[in-house]
Amino acid sequence: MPEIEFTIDTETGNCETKINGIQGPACEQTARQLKQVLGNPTTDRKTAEFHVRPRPKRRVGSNE
Amino acid sequence: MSKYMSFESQSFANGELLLEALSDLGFTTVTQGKDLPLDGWDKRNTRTADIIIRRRDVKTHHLLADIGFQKTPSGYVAVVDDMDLDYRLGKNFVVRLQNHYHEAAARRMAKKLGGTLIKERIGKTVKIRVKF
Repeated sequence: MPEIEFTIDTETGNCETKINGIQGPACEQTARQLKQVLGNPTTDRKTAEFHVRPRPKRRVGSNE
Repeated sequence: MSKYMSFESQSFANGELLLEALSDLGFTTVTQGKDLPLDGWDKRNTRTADIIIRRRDVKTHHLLADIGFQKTPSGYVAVVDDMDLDYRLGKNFVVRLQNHYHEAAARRMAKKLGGTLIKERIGKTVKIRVKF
């Protein structure tokens, strides 16, 4: 299940957000929505999960 | 002698979330406009802001001056009297406001994505997961 994780340091007020469970560039769409709400982040980096290519579904067909 | 303090490095990009965070801290009556003068006990040091908590609207806090938020290209920046920070609001007022602001952002995202929100506190860290 995809999720956005907000980690708030209550001593500094800083917040780090991480998008989990969405592979590949589809994650960008959620990141865009997040930026619409929070504004542009001070740092922005892609996790390893971002670079995973979603596997294309194999088509199973009959050999006619 | 008091003076207004600005917090440029701690700006609030989203005005609606800022209002929600202020409301969480009990500041529900807000004056909004453009470059409105802040009212304080020190008339020599006047400042303006776009979102204002008028001290007359929060009498229980016994503030010496209005609390303002000036709109800048990076977001709203708090303008607060330093004596109010020392004796009334607490030095960490802006940090507390930021914490509530980020919680409001998580709530907003949960609503936007039709998700659920799980909040847990681990020491000085608050972790909020928005599952969707």
